[in-house]
Amino acid sequence: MIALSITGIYLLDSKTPQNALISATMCDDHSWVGFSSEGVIGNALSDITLPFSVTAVSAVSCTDTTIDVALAYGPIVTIQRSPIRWSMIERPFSGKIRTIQRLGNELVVTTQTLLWKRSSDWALIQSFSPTLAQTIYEFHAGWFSGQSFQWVWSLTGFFWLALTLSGIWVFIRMTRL
Amino acid sequence: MLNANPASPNEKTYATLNKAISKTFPNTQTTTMNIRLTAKQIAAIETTLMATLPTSNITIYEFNRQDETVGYGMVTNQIGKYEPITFFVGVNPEFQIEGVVVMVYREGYGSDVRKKRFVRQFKSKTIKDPLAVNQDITSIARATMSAYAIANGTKRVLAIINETI
Repeated sequence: MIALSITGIYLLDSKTPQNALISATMCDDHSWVGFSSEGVIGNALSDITLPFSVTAVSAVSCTDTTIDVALAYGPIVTIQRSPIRWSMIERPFSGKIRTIQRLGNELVVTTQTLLWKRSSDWALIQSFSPTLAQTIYEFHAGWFSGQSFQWVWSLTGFFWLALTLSGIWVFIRMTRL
Repeated sequence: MLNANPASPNEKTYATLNKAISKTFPNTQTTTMNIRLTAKQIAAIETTLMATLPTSNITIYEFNRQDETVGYGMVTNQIGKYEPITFFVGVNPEFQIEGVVVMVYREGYGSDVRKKRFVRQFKSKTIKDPLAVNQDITSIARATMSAYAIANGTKRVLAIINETI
């Protein structure tokens, strides 16, 4: 019990990423780049203050000139390798990015249900309906039809807490009688 | 600039430009300067930031009080999670940040970056400071990406004003 409590508190309180290696890939010129709990690793990219948190990275792609970093629930950061220059690309779809791949001037990105490509503009190649399990998972996380209702869960939690505390109070009062 | 993405369902305006200016430089007269950055200026700014500038056409505001310049400012957009955040950055004549005011926020959550406890961290920072989250800027719970966006955009404004004024 004590061990579980201590390790649980460490997990909750830990500021460092939980994965030693978050994402990594090999570049066309056989150098490599990765994002780990240590920050940027590999010999393809160095000496850069990242404009994002490494914990947000979900996928990375690398060519001999460009590194594309997909943030799980955010934009895509394109880093020109020499001289090092980063820029951000907005995306018109939500959901966690799973893979990213650069094919010449095109970026190909997949989420759990979508396949998109981008040259000058984004174009949807294929979409799939989410499975029931995915829909339920999103519902539990406080999302429905792309809209957040997390405040409902917060309110529910508050009422559960109030109910628990009042129950304890009633129990104490009853045992004192 | 305020209408960076008018289709955002969660868009909320927290401050107009006039309100942002009066919060940062109260009781001043404003002069608007529309500037087209030269290739040399763009190269210098991009080298400082290690980032690509999204545009070469910029608008800088100069603030005067009794014929004395008390500061400069810019409105900028920076992508947070999916949507751009529009905010004002004020810089004093010593090129230190005077204030950051979030004007329009468009994400579902994370708008706490507009609060004083976050933006006051930028006060008096210069281009020599890292202005980086987890270095000299502390992030805010449930708004990590927005915190990075404000830090990145603020550093960009500092670099532009340093290079052009």
